[in-house]
Amino acid sequence: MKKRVKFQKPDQDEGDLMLPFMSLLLIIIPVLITNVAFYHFKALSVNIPGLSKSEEKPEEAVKPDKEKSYVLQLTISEASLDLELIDEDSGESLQKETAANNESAAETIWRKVIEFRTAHKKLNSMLVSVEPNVTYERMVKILEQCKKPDSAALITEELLLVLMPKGDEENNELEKS
Amino acid sequence: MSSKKVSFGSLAPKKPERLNITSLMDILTIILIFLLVNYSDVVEEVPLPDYIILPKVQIKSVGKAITGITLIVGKDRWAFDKGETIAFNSFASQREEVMKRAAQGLERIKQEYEKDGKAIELMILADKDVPYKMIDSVVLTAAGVGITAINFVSMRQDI
Repeated sequence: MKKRVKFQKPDQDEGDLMLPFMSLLLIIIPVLITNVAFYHFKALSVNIPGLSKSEEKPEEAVKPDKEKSYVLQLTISEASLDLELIDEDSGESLQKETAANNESAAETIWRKVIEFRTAHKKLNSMLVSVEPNVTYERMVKILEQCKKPDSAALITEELLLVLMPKGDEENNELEKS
Repeated sequence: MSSKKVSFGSLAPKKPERLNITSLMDILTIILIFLLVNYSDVVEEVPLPDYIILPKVQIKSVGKAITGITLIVGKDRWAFDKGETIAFNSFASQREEVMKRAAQGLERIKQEYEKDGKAIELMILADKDVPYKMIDSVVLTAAGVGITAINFVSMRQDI
């Protein structure tokens, strides 16, 4: 004959069992309320050439074995995004990628940046030049996208951005043109 | 005279009322999840003024705390988080004056930060539609007073 398994009813009420958990919640909730943030900021850090600490290193120490060094340059304009791979010694533009201004432009440029960074492992910084009428929103969105690492391509470090300030005269000239 | 029967039914001992806390637990669990999602270990002390709208950036990484000198850049004014506001009608014509006043303000706040031993970083909170030429002036002003670490602040939109 089969033996029936009997479940015993707990002696305590369900409410009594919940009381410690309720007390815990009543402590946790006020603590969390004091630390709740209804908006989260994101800060994008950039350097200024010649002034930032990372730029203060003497140049001769960088390439003792005459290894070629490259630098990326991104130009953000209202119409397009231009990415150039430049030979640091000669200043010659080796490769150029242009993406027309659309929703996927930043993504296209980022993929190209990752491609360059995969090919040249020492490439970890990008010079950024922005045209005067480009809005803050567009600039920030593009730079956030381009800075991202890509773990799939084994690029784990964020790109160091070096912003090239233009000054009033250059801005006016660009506006006129 | 007929005697009225009094019922003592209501006075009869009742089974004690039991509080059903299941629904209360549900509410508390939902509140707990909401609070955990929006939890921040650093309380943001920067009040966001109504004259700027920060751009929203979809990003997975963790947001950085706003801990440096904060400069709010609007279409018609620049303001420091410590109170001073530099208003202008036309930035193009008043650029020099605005930059001069901003440099004075930055220099003063920088000295306060140096006294307190805090890291000197400039946090730029600009309206999303402000043109880059204005941001460029802010960057040049900061560089002029020796502030080299600059951060562009946006609103993080979780993916």
